[in-house]
Amino acid sequence: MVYLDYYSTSPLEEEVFEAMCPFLKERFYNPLSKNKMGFLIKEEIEVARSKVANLINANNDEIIFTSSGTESNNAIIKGLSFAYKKNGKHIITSKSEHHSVLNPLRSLERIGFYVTFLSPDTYGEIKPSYVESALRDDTMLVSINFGSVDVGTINNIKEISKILRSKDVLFHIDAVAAVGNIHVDVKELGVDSLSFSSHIFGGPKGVGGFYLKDGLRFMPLIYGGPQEFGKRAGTENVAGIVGTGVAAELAMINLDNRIKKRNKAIDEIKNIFSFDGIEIVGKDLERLPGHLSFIIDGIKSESMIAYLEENDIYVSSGSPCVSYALKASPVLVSMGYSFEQASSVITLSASHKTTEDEIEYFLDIFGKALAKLR
Amino acid sequence: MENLKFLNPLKVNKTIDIVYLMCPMHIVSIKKALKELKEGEILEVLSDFSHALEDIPKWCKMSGHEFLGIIEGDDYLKFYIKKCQEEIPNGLS
Repeated sequence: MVYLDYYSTSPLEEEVFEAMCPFLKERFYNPLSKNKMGFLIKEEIEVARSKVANLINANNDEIIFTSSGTESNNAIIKGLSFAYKKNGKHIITSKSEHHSVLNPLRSLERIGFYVTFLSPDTYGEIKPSYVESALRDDTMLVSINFGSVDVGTINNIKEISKILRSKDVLFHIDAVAAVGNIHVDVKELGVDSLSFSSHIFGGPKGVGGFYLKDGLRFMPLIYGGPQEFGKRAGTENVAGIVGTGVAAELAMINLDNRIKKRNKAIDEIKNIFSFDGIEIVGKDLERLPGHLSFIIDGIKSESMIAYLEENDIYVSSGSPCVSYALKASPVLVSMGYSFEQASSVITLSASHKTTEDEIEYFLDIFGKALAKLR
Repeated sequence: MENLKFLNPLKVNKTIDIVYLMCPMHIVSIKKALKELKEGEILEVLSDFSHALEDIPKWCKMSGHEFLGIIEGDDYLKFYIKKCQEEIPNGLS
């Protein structure tokens, strides 16, 4: 089997699995319990929190664990919008966002907020100047992705942040694809909040989280007990959080090496551009590590995916939430591609464990697919 | 709520903003913040949680800290607590 869809999800690192196991069985205690066992479990959560904080250069109490990247985006977008609605009711985002950003914003439109959806340029970038032009006196929040999994292009977060600082507008980034896969430093980026997801960087599914800059008000999405500083109530997914901490630590230690390996794998895969009628989508270099997106002239994504599947190769045609619902990528359409082109996109992502043999096999089958399907 | 009294602005040593947070964070956050203060220093707590009006003075009484009073903010209340001594164990939490 050749799996080339690591931005959809990644397998658990072995060390992560080993670290999680005791918390699924013998160390089952509730971290909120007022006894020694509860206290020791709570300490493990705090260790994990500090590892995630280190990964993105945040303070420990600026990290809140949730159930997913989706919950994190929902919590931040609603939580900041409700808390700061006195500053205005206008929010700016882009059409290349994940549905966990787009849909909560659409829900806010129903209750009186105004949302501007920016189109990316032909490379999939949300230019800082686009954000600046869309600002209004009542803009209170901007939510832009660090890098879209559909296209791979990385946005200039630092520059957008600089513009927003001067206007006193809150800035959230969906960094689900980025955290653990590329250097992310919240202080250097100057963002107010950020979302992440554990299973994208070798951690377990069912755990995500967000960074919320110290001192900001936030109306929690989930009220209940005092877990997560009262900002996300509910008994913690202890095993998942511990695993996330280990995954974050491994990502931090091995980040440069992993990026190098992933990009090397993609450089090999780029041999497909020697075939006729294949066009890269997004920027060639300033993209998420190990990510490649391209359009195959004359072949629908679903046909290529099915052919590759028959040969035990697994790729994607963009955000998994999108590809089930629509035949064409709305992100590509917003970039100016035709509906037909947007229906012919393939997205690949390699991991640091992708082997040369896997790439060789992919290239061989891909060539055969082109000959058969055209 | 016989302990409530309105104050004029006063010098504070630490402020915690827990607007939008609810029970038990109005007490948990105060306990944590007071640990960072010295005896005699004043903690300011910004809260919009309605039960805080009853709970904060009550908790101060139980834990041995002095509840000084409140000031009305725009859409929240400011509570003032003077750290009087090390916290009495088993105070309301």
